[in-house]
Amino acid sequence: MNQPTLHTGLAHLLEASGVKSQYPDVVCFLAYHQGSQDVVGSNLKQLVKFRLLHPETPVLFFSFLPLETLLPKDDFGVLKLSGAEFIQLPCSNVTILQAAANQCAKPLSVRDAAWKAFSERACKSLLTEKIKIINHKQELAFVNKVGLGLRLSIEQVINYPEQRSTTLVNFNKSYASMLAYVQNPQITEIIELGNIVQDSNDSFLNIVSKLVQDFVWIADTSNKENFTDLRATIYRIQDSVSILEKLKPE
Amino acid sequence: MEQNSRNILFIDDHSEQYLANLEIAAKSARFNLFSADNVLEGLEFLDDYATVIDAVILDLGFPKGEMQGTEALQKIKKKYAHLPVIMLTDSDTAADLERVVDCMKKGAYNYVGKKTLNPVYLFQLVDNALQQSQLVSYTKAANRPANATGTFFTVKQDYDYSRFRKRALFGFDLSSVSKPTDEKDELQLKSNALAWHENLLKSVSTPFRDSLQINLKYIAEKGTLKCRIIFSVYGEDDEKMQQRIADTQHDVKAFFNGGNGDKTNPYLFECISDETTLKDSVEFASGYKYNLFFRSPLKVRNRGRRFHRI
Repeated sequence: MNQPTLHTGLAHLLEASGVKSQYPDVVCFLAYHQGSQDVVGSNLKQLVKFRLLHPETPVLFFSFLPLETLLPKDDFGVLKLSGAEFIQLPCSNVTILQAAANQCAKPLSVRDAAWKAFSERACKSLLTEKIKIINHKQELAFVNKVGLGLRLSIEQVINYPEQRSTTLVNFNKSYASMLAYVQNPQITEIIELGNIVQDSNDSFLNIVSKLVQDFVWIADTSNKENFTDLRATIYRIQDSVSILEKLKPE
Repeated sequence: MEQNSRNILFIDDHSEQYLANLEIAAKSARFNLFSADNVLEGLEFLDDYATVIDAVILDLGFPKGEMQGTEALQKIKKKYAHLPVIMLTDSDTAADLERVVDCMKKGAYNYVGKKTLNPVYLFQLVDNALQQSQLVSYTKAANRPANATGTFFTVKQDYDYSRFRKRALFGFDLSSVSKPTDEKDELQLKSNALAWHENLLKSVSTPFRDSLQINLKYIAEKGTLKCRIIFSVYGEDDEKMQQRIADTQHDVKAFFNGGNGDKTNPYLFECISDETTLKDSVEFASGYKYNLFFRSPLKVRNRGRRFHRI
């Protein structure tokens, strides 16, 4: 598990407390995010994302500010969620060890109703912003960047079997572009977040979930030469993108 | 480039992503594909090659700050009204469909959505657009007053070439207006002459690209320029050839009436009114050193920015 970058002072404190050696799975966050203009609770977004991606990892969240000051900044209730403990600095080694012990003893369960509510709200909010990048005219517009090229290359492979030596070269190029697209860090982030919430009652999250499943399927190279299904998947992705583009924000 | 094939120019900043995957379908529908990454490049291409491009496929949206498809369409239609333009869009939002409708009001033939783009459908659509443009041309010719034809002295003959059985010839002898005083002046004169030739070629439109041939032959020596320009119009029969003569002469006349197409026109010209001269000119013209033929074949542009002639 990658530990977030910590302020030197806090890193020393954690080292001295022995929490790292006694509870190696515990991840520590400082509320202040270096380089961010919004000082109060600026690292809460990172905490939210971390908890979404690693719900069962115990977390300690440190701040020089009192909890009451941070709570208004906590849009999704991540500070109230079990599995994470808030510690106000300065604090003693004993406080840190005690908090780590508490969280390791009662890790968050993804079956927890509180987790479901938190993850749906947080994912929807984060994805609503991130998903725009694949809309038409945007930086990673699916149809223009890869969808059309790959689909047409598949049409060529299917429709002109006698010219496979040529059509497969074009297809391989288009497929390589698709792989690069899916491995783009911004798409990877959408896939990670879209995979978190399954079986939601929320239509937006359901469509995103289908979309990322299709992305994962298309990027699985064992499906590479399943041309008919590849083509169908591209159409499904286009449909999902189209619906997401038209959904009005609530 | 195969004979009798038609040329389509794609103006789309993403054409590199998909154009190669349309090649086979294009070839079987007898189309050559060319591409330009942005509107300015596309317009520049048309300025150079409008006479050999049969249709344009134009994307609706370009990056912010660049000229958009709607404006590009207006520019293309203003300059090359005969060229069918088909719009491309990757969006099916209501706003974009409204923009497409606006384009169709401004002269676009139709539109194709990239999400469902089917190569066979696309090239059939272009084919239909070309047929319609041909029909419009016929209708215009049919509605033209009878006295509008035969503007220039014209020789008609029986001829056996491809599907054609008739040929008509008309042409002009042109001499430079001014005698250059030095080498720099002479270079300027030659450059003006070439520009004028190109403008003349651009002014002549025909739905049948193999039905008109233009021979431009010129001498540039001892400070003078002489040029002979011969139009060879081909027809399957008398009626079709007559229509083509009327169309071509109408365009040429409009070009001459419009100030000979260029303010820097270097020529005085006179219509050739001698049958033997016309016939000899298309076979062989002794003393004329350089022939510039209409419709040089083009090579499909690869990834580079340049367009090539072959």
